[in-house]
Amino acid sequence: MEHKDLVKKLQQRLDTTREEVESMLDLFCGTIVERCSQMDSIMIQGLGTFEARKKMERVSVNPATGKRMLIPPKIVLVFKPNSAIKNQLKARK
Amino acid sequence: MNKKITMSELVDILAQKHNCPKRIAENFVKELLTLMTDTISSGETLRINGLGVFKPTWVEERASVNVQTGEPTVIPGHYKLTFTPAKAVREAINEPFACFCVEELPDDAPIVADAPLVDEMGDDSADEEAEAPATEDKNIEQPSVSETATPVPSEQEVPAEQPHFIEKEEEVAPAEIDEKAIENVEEPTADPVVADEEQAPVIAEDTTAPVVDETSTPIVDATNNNSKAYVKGIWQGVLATVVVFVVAIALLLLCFPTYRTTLSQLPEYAGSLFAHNEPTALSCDTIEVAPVDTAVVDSIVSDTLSLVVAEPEVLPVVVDTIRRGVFLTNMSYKHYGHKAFWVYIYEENSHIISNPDNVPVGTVITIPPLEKYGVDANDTTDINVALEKARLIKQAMKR
Repeated sequence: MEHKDLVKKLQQRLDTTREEVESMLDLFCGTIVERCSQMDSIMIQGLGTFEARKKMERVSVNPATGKRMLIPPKIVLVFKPNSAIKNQLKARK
Repeated sequence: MNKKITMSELVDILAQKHNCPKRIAENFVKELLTLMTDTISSGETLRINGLGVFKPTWVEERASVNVQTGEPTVIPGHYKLTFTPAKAVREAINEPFACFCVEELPDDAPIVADAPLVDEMGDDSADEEAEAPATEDKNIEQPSVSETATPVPSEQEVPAEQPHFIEKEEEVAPAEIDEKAIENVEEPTADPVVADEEQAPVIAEDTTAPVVDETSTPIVDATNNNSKAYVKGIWQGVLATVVVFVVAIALLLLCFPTYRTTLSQLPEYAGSLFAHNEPTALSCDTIEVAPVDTAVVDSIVSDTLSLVVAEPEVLPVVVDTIRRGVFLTNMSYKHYGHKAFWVYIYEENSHIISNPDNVPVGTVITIPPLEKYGVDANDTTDINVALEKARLIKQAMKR
Protein backbone atom coordinates (compact mmCIF):
# COMPACT_ATOMS: atom_id res chain seq x y z
CA MET A 1 0.00 0.00 0.00
CA GLU A 2 1.41 3.33 -0.98
CA HIS A 3 1.41 6.43 1.15
CA LYS A 4 -1.48 7.94 -0.81
CA ASP A 5 -3.71 4.92 -0.23
CA LEU A 6 -2.90 4.88 3.43
CA VAL A 7 -3.88 8.51 3.78
CA LYS A 8 -7.09 7.94 1.84
CA LYS A 9 -8.10 5.00 3.98
CA LEU A 10 -7.31 6.83 7.16
CA GLN A 11 -9.33 9.77 5.98
CA GLN A 12 -12.33 7.54 5.36
CA ARG A 13 -12.02 5.86 8.73
CA LEU A 14 -11.50 9.03 10.73
CA ASP A 15 -13.92 11.08 8.68
CA THR A 16 -11.68 14.15 8.44
CA THR A 17 -9.91 16.09 5.74
CA ARG A 18 -6.91 14.82 3.84
CA GLU A 19 -4.74 17.70 5.08
CA GLU A 20 -5.57 16.86 8.65
CA VAL A 21 -4.54 13.25 8.19
CA GLU A 22 -1.39 14.20 6.31
CA SER A 23 -0.21 16.62 8.95
CA MET A 24 -0.96 14.14 11.73
CA LEU A 25 0.92 11.40 9.92
CA ASP A 26 3.88 13.68 9.32
CA LEU A 27 3.97 14.61 12.97
CA PHE A 28 3.71 10.96 13.97
CA CYS A 29 6.67 9.99 11.80
CA GLY A 30 8.57 13.13 12.76
CA THR A 31 8.18 12.32 16.44
CA ILE A 32 9.48 8.80 15.96
CA VAL A 33 12.50 10.03 14.02
CA GLU A 34 13.18 12.84 16.45
CA ARG A 35 13.07 10.60 19.51
CA CYS A 36 15.10 7.89 17.85
CA SER A 37 17.82 10.34 16.90
CA GLN A 38 18.08 11.03 20.64
CA MET A 39 18.77 7.31 21.03
CA ASP A 40 15.38 6.65 22.61
CA SER A 41 13.35 3.64 21.63
CA ILE A 42 9.66 3.82 20.85
CA MET A 43 7.45 0.91 21.73
CA ILE A 44 4.23 0.75 19.76
CA GLN A 45 1.80 -1.79 21.04
CA GLY A 46 0.56 -4.24 18.46
CA LEU A 47 3.20 -3.24 15.97
CA GLY A 48 6.72 -3.32 17.33
CA THR A 49 9.62 -1.20 18.48
CA PHE A 50 11.54 1.51 16.70
CA GLU A 51 15.04 2.06 17.99
CA ALA A 52 18.35 3.56 16.94
CA ARG A 53 21.35 1.27 16.98
CA LYS A 54 25.01 2.09 16.75
CA LYS A 55 27.03 0.13 14.24
CA MET A 56 30.77 -0.08 14.69
CA GLU A 57 33.18 0.79 11.96
CA ARG A 58 34.41 -2.20 9.96
CA VAL A 59 36.75 -3.18 7.20
CA SER A 60 35.12 -4.53 4.09
CA VAL A 61 36.67 -5.78 0.88
CA ASN A 62 35.40 -4.90 -2.54
CA PRO A 63 35.21 -8.34 -4.17
CA ALA A 64 35.68 -6.93 -7.65
CA THR A 65 38.83 -4.92 -7.03
CA GLY A 66 40.12 -6.55 -3.84
CA LYS A 67 40.47 -3.11 -2.26
CA ARG A 68 39.91 -2.92 1.46
CA MET A 69 37.68 -0.13 2.67
CA LEU A 70 37.10 1.22 6.12
CA ILE A 71 33.36 1.62 6.55
CA PRO A 72 32.74 4.35 9.14
CA PRO A 73 30.57 3.84 12.22
CA LYS A 74 26.94 4.81 11.84
CA ILE A 75 23.62 4.96 13.63
CA VAL A 76 20.67 3.24 11.99
CA LEU A 77 16.96 3.12 12.69
CA VAL A 78 15.84 -0.43 13.40
CA PHE A 79 12.28 -1.72 13.57
CA LYS A 80 11.59 -4.89 15.48
CA PRO A 81 8.10 -6.24 14.73
CA ASN A 82 6.33 -7.74 17.71
CA SER A 83 5.76 -11.48 17.88
CA ALA A 84 2.09 -11.35 16.88
CA ILE A 85 2.91 -9.79 13.54
CA LYS A 86 5.89 -12.07 13.05
CA ASN A 87 3.77 -15.15 13.65
CA GLN A 88 1.01 -13.96 11.38
CA LEU A 89 3.48 -13.44 8.58
CA LYS A 90 5.13 -16.79 9.24
CA ALA A 91 1.77 -18.55 9.05
CA ARG A 92 1.16 -17.12 5.61
CA LYS A 93 2.26 -19.35 2.76
CA MET B 1 18.73 9.22 26.05
CA ASN B 2 18.00 5.51 25.97
CA LYS B 3 14.49 6.08 27.24
CA LYS B 4 11.64 3.82 26.33
CA ILE B 5 8.70 5.69 24.99
CA THR B 6 5.32 4.02 25.08
CA MET B 7 2.17 4.56 23.08
CA SER B 8 0.55 6.87 25.59
CA GLU B 9 3.58 9.14 25.70
CA LEU B 10 3.64 9.21 21.94
CA VAL B 11 -0.02 10.22 21.90
CA ASP B 12 0.73 12.98 24.41
CA ILE B 13 3.53 14.35 22.30
CA LEU B 14 1.40 14.17 19.18
CA ALA B 15 -1.51 15.97 20.81
CA GLN B 16 0.79 18.68 22.09
CA LYS B 17 2.48 19.19 18.74
CA HIS B 18 -0.70 19.19 16.72
CA ASN B 19 -2.48 21.36 19.23
CA CYS B 20 -5.52 19.13 19.37
CA PRO B 21 -7.29 17.27 22.17
CA LYS B 22 -5.69 14.02 23.27
CA ARG B 23 -8.78 12.08 22.29
CA ILE B 24 -8.35 12.95 18.63
CA ALA B 25 -4.66 12.12 18.63
CA GLU B 26 -5.35 8.82 20.34
CA ASN B 27 -8.07 8.00 17.89
CA PHE B 28 -5.78 8.80 15.00
CA VAL B 29 -2.92 6.66 16.31
CA LYS B 30 -5.26 3.78 17.01
CA GLU B 31 -6.72 3.84 13.52
CA LEU B 32 -3.30 4.25 11.97
CA LEU B 33 -1.94 1.29 13.89
CA THR B 34 -4.81 -1.05 13.10
CA LEU B 35 -4.50 -0.10 9.47
CA MET B 36 -0.74 -0.66 9.56
CA THR B 37 -0.98 -4.00 11.32
CA ASP B 38 -3.73 -5.18 8.97
CA THR B 39 -1.78 -4.20 5.92
CA ILE B 40 1.50 -5.63 7.13
CA SER B 41 0.14 -8.92 8.40
CA SER B 42 -1.85 -9.43 5.23
CA GLY B 43 1.50 -9.52 3.48
CA GLU B 44 1.20 -6.24 1.66
CA THR B 45 4.02 -3.73 1.30
CA LEU B 46 3.39 -0.53 3.21
CA ARG B 47 5.13 2.70 2.34
CA ILE B 48 4.91 5.72 4.63
CA ASN B 49 6.62 8.76 3.20
CA GLY B 50 8.16 10.26 6.32
CA LEU B 51 9.24 6.92 7.75
CA GLY B 52 10.10 4.15 5.33
CA VAL B 53 8.91 0.93 3.78
CA PHE B 54 7.57 -2.14 5.59
CA LYS B 55 7.87 -5.13 3.36
CA PRO B 56 7.47 -8.84 3.92
CA THR B 57 10.32 -10.81 2.41
CA TRP B 58 10.44 -14.52 1.74
CA VAL B 59 13.03 -16.55 3.63
CA GLU B 60 13.95 -19.83 1.91
CA GLU B 61 13.75 -23.03 3.86
CA ARG B 62 17.07 -24.12 5.30
CA ALA B 63 18.61 -27.02 7.11
CA SER B 64 19.35 -26.62 10.77
CA VAL B 65 20.20 -28.75 13.77
CA ASN B 66 18.16 -29.19 16.90
CA VAL B 67 20.59 -28.00 19.53
CA GLN B 68 19.23 -30.27 22.25
CA THR B 69 19.12 -33.57 20.37
CA GLY B 70 21.58 -32.90 17.57
CA GLU B 71 18.98 -34.04 15.07
CA PRO B 72 19.03 -32.31 11.70
CA THR B 73 15.82 -30.43 11.04
CA VAL B 74 14.53 -28.27 8.24
CA ILE B 75 13.26 -24.78 8.97
CA PRO B 76 10.42 -24.24 6.50
CA GLY B 77 10.41 -21.18 4.31
CA HIS B 78 8.49 -18.23 5.73
CA TYR B 79 7.90 -14.53 5.41
CA LYS B 80 9.60 -12.01 7.65
CA LEU B 81 9.03 -8.31 7.95
CA THR B 82 11.78 -5.95 6.88
CA PHE B 83 11.78 -2.25 7.47
CA THR B 84 13.82 0.10 5.32
CA PRO B 85 13.94 3.66 6.61
CA ALA B 86 13.54 6.46 4.10
CA LYS B 87 16.66 8.32 3.03
CA ALA B 88 15.79 11.48 4.92
CA VAL B 89 15.16 9.44 8.06
CA ARG B 90 18.43 7.57 7.70
CA GLU B 91 20.30 10.84 7.39
CA ALA B 92 18.51 12.40 10.33
CA ILE B 93 19.31 9.43 12.57
CA ASN B 94 22.93 9.24 11.44
CA GLU B 95 23.45 12.98 11.82
CA PRO B 96 26.15 12.76 14.56
CA PHE B 97 28.29 10.49 12.37
CA ALA B 98 27.47 12.27 9.11
CA CYS B 99 30.99 13.63 8.66
CA PHE B 100 32.56 10.19 8.23
CA CYS B 101 33.07 8.80 4.80
CA VAL B 102 34.36 5.51 3.48
CA GLU B 103 38.11 5.42 3.33
CA GLU B 104 40.26 3.13 1.29
CA LEU B 105 42.93 1.31 3.25
CA PRO B 106 46.46 1.00 1.89
CA ASP B 107 47.43 -2.54 0.96
CA ASP B 108 50.32 -2.87 3.35
CA ALA B 109 48.32 -1.95 6.46
CA PRO B 110 47.57 -4.79 8.88
CA ILE B 111 44.04 -6.18 8.87
CA VAL B 112 43.19 -5.23 12.44
CA ALA B 113 44.83 -1.95 11.74
CA ASP B 114 45.28 0.40 14.64
CA ALA B 115 47.15 3.02 12.70
CA PRO B 116 44.53 3.84 10.07
CA LEU B 117 41.84 3.52 12.69
CA VAL B 118 43.39 6.19 14.86
CA ASP B 119 41.89 8.97 12.77
CA GLU B 120 38.40 7.65 13.21
CA MET B 121 38.88 6.61 16.79
CA GLY B 122 39.95 10.06 17.81
CA ASP B 123 36.74 11.46 16.42
CA ASP B 124 34.57 8.79 17.90
CA SER B 125 34.82 10.31 21.30
CA ALA B 126 31.32 9.55 22.51
CA ASP B 127 32.51 6.06 23.33
CA GLU B 128 36.10 7.11 23.57
CA GLU B 129 35.45 9.45 26.42
CA ALA B 130 34.19 6.65 28.55
CA GLU B 131 37.04 4.38 27.58
CA ALA B 132 39.91 6.79 27.69
CA PRO B 133 40.01 7.48 31.43
CA ALA B 134 39.77 3.79 32.17
CA THR B 135 42.79 2.93 30.08
CA GLU B 136 44.72 5.87 31.34
CA ASP B 137 43.98 4.77 34.86
CA LYS B 138 45.54 1.44 34.15
CA ASN B 139 48.62 3.14 32.82
CA ILE B 140 48.94 5.16 35.93
CA GLU B 141 48.30 2.31 38.26
CA GLN B 142 51.43 0.53 37.25
CA PRO B 143 53.99 3.30 37.61
CA SER B 144 52.46 4.56 40.83
CA VAL B 145 52.68 1.16 42.46
CA SER B 146 56.30 0.71 41.56
CA GLU B 147 57.26 4.25 42.43
CA THR B 148 55.53 4.42 45.74
CA ALA B 149 57.31 1.24 46.65
CA THR B 150 60.72 2.74 46.01
CA PRO B 151 60.68 5.77 48.29
CA VAL B 152 58.98 3.87 51.11
CA PRO B 153 60.89 0.72 52.10
CA SER B 154 58.84 -2.40 52.50
CA GLU B 155 59.49 -2.59 56.27
CA GLN B 156 57.75 0.71 56.66
CA GLU B 157 54.86 -0.37 54.54
CA VAL B 158 54.17 -3.24 56.88
CA PRO B 159 53.85 -1.11 60.02
CA ALA B 160 51.64 1.13 57.99
CA GLU B 161 49.15 -1.67 57.93
CA GLN B 162 49.73 -3.15 61.35
CA PRO B 163 49.07 -0.20 63.63
CA HIS B 164 45.66 0.21 62.11
CA PHE B 165 44.77 -3.35 62.92
CA ILE B 166 46.13 -3.07 66.42
CA GLU B 167 44.29 0.14 66.93
CA LYS B 168 41.06 -1.45 65.84
CA GLU B 169 41.49 -4.45 68.15
CA GLU B 170 42.26 -2.10 70.97
CA GLU B 171 39.12 -0.18 70.24
CA VAL B 172 36.94 -3.23 70.47
CA ALA B 173 38.43 -5.22 73.35
CA PRO B 174 39.38 -3.08 76.43
CA ALA B 175 37.38 -0.48 78.32
CA GLU B 176 36.41 2.73 76.61
CA ILE B 177 38.87 4.86 78.51
CA ASP B 178 41.80 2.96 77.15
CA GLU B 179 40.72 3.45 73.65
CA LYS B 180 40.11 7.12 74.18
CA ALA B 181 43.51 7.50 75.68
CA ILE B 182 45.15 5.96 72.70
CA GLU B 183 43.32 8.19 70.41
CA ASN B 184 44.31 11.11 72.50
CA VAL B 185 47.92 10.09 72.48
CA GLU B 186 47.78 9.88 68.83
CA GLU B 187 46.50 13.39 68.48
CA PRO B 188 49.75 15.32 68.84
CA THR B 189 51.39 13.11 66.28
CA ALA B 190 48.56 13.54 63.90
CA ASP B 191 48.21 17.26 64.29
CA PRO B 192 51.38 18.48 62.59
CA VAL B 193 50.82 16.05 59.80
CA VAL B 194 47.39 17.50 59.20
CA ALA B 195 48.81 20.96 59.05
CA ASP B 196 51.47 19.87 56.60
CA GLU B 197 49.76 17.51 54.30
CA GLU B 198 45.99 17.80 54.80
CA GLN B 199 45.52 14.06 54.61
CA ALA B 200 41.99 12.75 54.74
CA PRO B 201 42.42 9.66 56.99
CA VAL B 202 44.34 11.65 59.57
CA ILE B 203 41.71 14.33 59.66
CA ALA B 204 39.12 11.77 60.56
CA GLU B 205 41.11 10.81 63.65
CA ASP B 206 41.71 14.40 64.47
CA THR B 207 38.05 15.29 64.64
CA THR B 208 37.33 12.63 67.20
CA ALA B 209 40.20 13.69 69.44
CA PRO B 210 38.91 17.01 70.83
CA VAL B 211 35.81 15.34 72.21
CA VAL B 212 37.91 12.82 74.07
CA ASP B 213 40.32 15.42 75.34
CA GLU B 214 38.70 16.46 78.63
CA THR B 215 37.65 13.05 79.85
CA SER B 216 40.94 11.26 79.47
CA THR B 217 43.70 13.70 80.25
CA PRO B 218 44.76 12.11 83.59
CA ILE B 219 45.00 8.65 82.13
CA VAL B 220 47.20 9.67 79.30
CA ASP B 221 50.38 9.43 81.42
CA ALA B 222 49.62 5.91 82.56
CA THR B 223 48.79 4.59 79.17
CA ASN B 224 51.48 6.65 77.58
CA ASN B 225 54.27 4.29 78.60
CA ASN B 226 52.33 1.20 77.69
CA SER B 227 51.40 2.40 74.31
CA LYS B 228 54.66 4.06 73.45
CA ALA B 229 55.49 1.16 71.18
CA TYR B 230 52.13 1.53 69.51
CA VAL B 231 52.59 5.25 69.21
CA LYS B 232 55.88 4.75 67.46
CA GLY B 233 54.29 2.26 65.12
CA ILE B 234 51.30 4.49 64.54
CA TRP B 235 53.56 7.46 63.95
CA GLN B 236 55.53 5.55 61.39
CA GLY B 237 52.39 4.14 59.86
CA VAL B 238 50.72 7.51 59.54
CA LEU B 239 53.86 8.98 58.05
CA ALA B 240 54.18 6.12 55.61
CA THR B 241 50.56 6.36 54.47
CA VAL B 242 50.86 10.11 54.14
CA VAL B 243 53.98 9.74 52.01
CA VAL B 244 52.26 7.13 49.87
CA PHE B 245 49.21 9.35 49.34
CA VAL B 246 51.27 12.43 48.55
CA VAL B 247 53.36 10.54 46.01
CA ALA B 248 50.21 9.04 44.48
CA ILE B 249 48.55 12.44 44.19
CA ALA B 250 51.69 13.99 42.76
CA LEU B 251 51.90 11.19 40.21
CA LEU B 252 48.25 11.62 39.32
CA LEU B 253 48.75 15.31 38.74
CA LEU B 254 51.88 14.62 36.71
CA CYS B 255 50.15 12.06 34.57
CA PHE B 256 47.18 14.29 33.85
CA PRO B 257 48.92 17.47 32.82
CA THR B 258 46.45 17.97 30.02
CA TYR B 259 43.47 17.83 32.32
CA ARG B 260 45.10 20.15 34.74
CA THR B 261 45.98 22.73 32.16
CA THR B 262 42.66 22.60 30.40
CA LEU B 263 40.85 22.87 33.69
CA SER B 264 42.86 25.84 34.82
CA GLN B 265 42.75 27.47 31.44
CA LEU B 266 39.10 26.97 30.88
CA PRO B 267 37.69 29.67 33.15
CA GLU B 268 39.90 32.49 31.87
CA TYR B 269 39.29 31.73 28.23
CA ALA B 270 35.66 31.18 28.92
CA GLY B 271 35.75 34.65 30.38
CA SER B 272 37.31 36.15 27.32
CA LEU B 273 35.03 34.29 24.99
CA PHE B 274 32.05 35.30 27.04
CA ALA B 275 32.39 38.67 25.44
CA HIS B 276 31.43 37.14 22.13
CA ASN B 277 28.56 35.24 23.61
CA GLU B 278 27.06 38.05 25.62
CA PRO B 279 24.70 39.59 23.08
CA THR B 280 23.01 36.34 22.08
CA ALA B 281 21.67 33.42 24.04
CA LEU B 282 24.36 31.13 25.47
CA SER B 283 22.50 27.98 24.62
CA CYS B 284 22.63 28.75 20.92
CA ASP B 285 24.41 26.19 18.82
CA THR B 286 26.24 28.50 16.52
CA ILE B 287 26.51 32.11 17.43
CA GLU B 288 27.27 34.72 14.86
CA VAL B 289 28.32 38.00 16.31
CA ALA B 290 28.58 41.00 14.10
CA PRO B 291 31.46 43.42 14.75
CA VAL B 292 28.89 45.98 15.88
CA ASP B 293 27.89 43.72 18.72
CA THR B 294 31.44 43.23 19.93
CA ALA B 295 31.76 46.96 20.02
CA VAL B 296 28.75 47.15 22.31
CA VAL B 297 30.21 44.48 24.50
CA ASP B 298 33.48 46.38 24.70
CA SER B 299 31.85 49.09 26.68
CA ILE B 300 30.21 46.59 29.01
CA VAL B 301 33.08 44.25 29.69
CA SER B 302 36.09 46.47 30.11
CA ASP B 303 38.31 43.64 31.26
CA THR B 304 38.20 41.79 27.99
CA LEU B 305 38.33 44.96 25.98
CA SER B 306 41.96 44.57 25.03
CA LEU B 307 41.41 40.99 23.93
CA VAL B 308 38.52 41.85 21.67
CA VAL B 309 40.18 44.88 20.20
CA ALA B 310 43.40 42.96 19.68
CA GLU B 311 41.82 40.99 16.88
CA PRO B 312 40.04 43.54 14.75
CA GLU B 313 38.07 41.35 12.38
CA VAL B 314 35.96 42.72 9.61
CA LEU B 315 34.39 39.31 9.06
CA PRO B 316 31.77 38.11 11.56
CA VAL B 317 33.14 35.88 14.31
CA VAL B 318 31.60 32.42 14.35
CA VAL B 319 31.65 30.57 17.65
CA ASP B 320 30.73 26.95 18.31
CA THR B 321 30.68 24.82 21.44
CA ILE B 322 32.06 21.30 21.86
CA ARG B 323 29.33 18.92 22.98
CA ARG B 324 28.76 15.21 23.10
CA GLY B 325 29.09 13.99 19.55
CA VAL B 326 30.46 17.29 18.28
CA PHE B 327 34.18 17.31 17.56
CA LEU B 328 36.56 19.50 15.62
CA THR B 329 36.05 17.38 12.50
CA ASN B 330 32.27 17.69 12.81
CA MET B 331 32.56 21.44 13.13
CA SER B 332 34.83 21.62 10.14
CA TYR B 333 32.35 19.61 8.13
CA LYS B 334 29.50 21.79 9.27
CA HIS B 335 31.13 25.15 8.68
CA TYR B 336 33.48 24.46 5.77
CA GLY B 337 31.94 21.43 4.10
CA HIS B 338 34.96 19.16 4.59
CA LYS B 339 36.28 17.52 7.73
CA ALA B 340 39.94 17.89 6.80
CA PHE B 341 39.93 21.57 7.66
CA TRP B 342 39.70 20.96 11.39
CA VAL B 343 43.42 21.77 11.50
CA TYR B 344 42.64 25.44 10.93
CA ILE B 345 40.08 25.44 13.70
CA TYR B 346 42.71 23.80 15.87
CA GLU B 347 45.33 26.37 14.93
CA GLU B 348 42.93 29.22 15.63
CA ASN B 349 42.15 27.77 19.07
CA SER B 350 45.46 26.12 19.89
CA HIS B 351 45.70 28.22 23.04
CA ILE B 352 42.58 26.49 24.44
CA ILE B 353 42.98 23.03 22.99
CA SER B 354 45.83 20.97 24.34
CA ASN B 355 44.86 17.77 22.56
CA PRO B 356 42.72 17.99 19.42
CA ASP B 357 41.63 14.38 19.93
CA ASN B 358 40.20 15.12 23.34
CA VAL B 359 38.66 18.55 23.62
CA PRO B 360 36.69 18.88 26.86
CA VAL B 361 32.93 19.16 26.47
CA GLY B 362 31.78 22.77 26.78
CA THR B 363 34.87 24.33 25.25
CA VAL B 364 33.86 27.33 23.18
CA ILE B 365 35.65 27.26 19.84
CA THR B 366 36.16 30.17 17.49
CA ILE B 367 35.65 29.15 13.88
CA PRO B 368 38.00 31.19 11.68
CA PRO B 369 36.92 32.11 8.16
CA LEU B 370 38.87 29.91 5.75
CA GLU B 371 39.95 32.97 3.77
CA LYS B 372 42.13 33.91 6.72
CA TYR B 373 44.37 30.97 5.88
CA GLY B 374 44.00 31.43 2.14
CA VAL B 375 42.17 28.15 1.77
CA ASP B 376 39.47 27.25 -0.70
CA ALA B 377 37.15 24.55 0.60
CA ASN B 378 36.60 23.07 -2.86
CA ASP B 379 40.27 22.82 -3.81
CA THR B 380 41.68 19.30 -3.56
CA THR B 381 45.26 20.54 -3.13
CA ASP B 382 44.13 22.58 -0.16
CA ILE B 383 42.46 19.50 1.30
CA ASN B 384 45.72 17.60 0.88
CA VAL B 385 47.64 20.41 2.55
CA ALA B 386 45.19 20.26 5.45
CA LEU B 387 45.55 16.47 5.70
CA GLU B 388 49.33 16.81 5.73
CA LYS B 389 49.00 19.39 8.49
CA ALA B 390 46.76 17.04 10.43
CA ARG B 391 49.38 14.32 10.10
CA LEU B 392 52.08 16.61 11.46
CA ILE B 393 49.87 17.64 14.38
CA LYS B 394 49.16 14.00 15.21
CA GLN B 395 52.87 13.24 15.08
CA ALA B 396 53.64 16.15 17.35
CA MET B 397 50.97 14.93 19.78
CA LYS B 398 52.52 11.48 19.92
CA ARG B 399 55.85 12.85 21.01
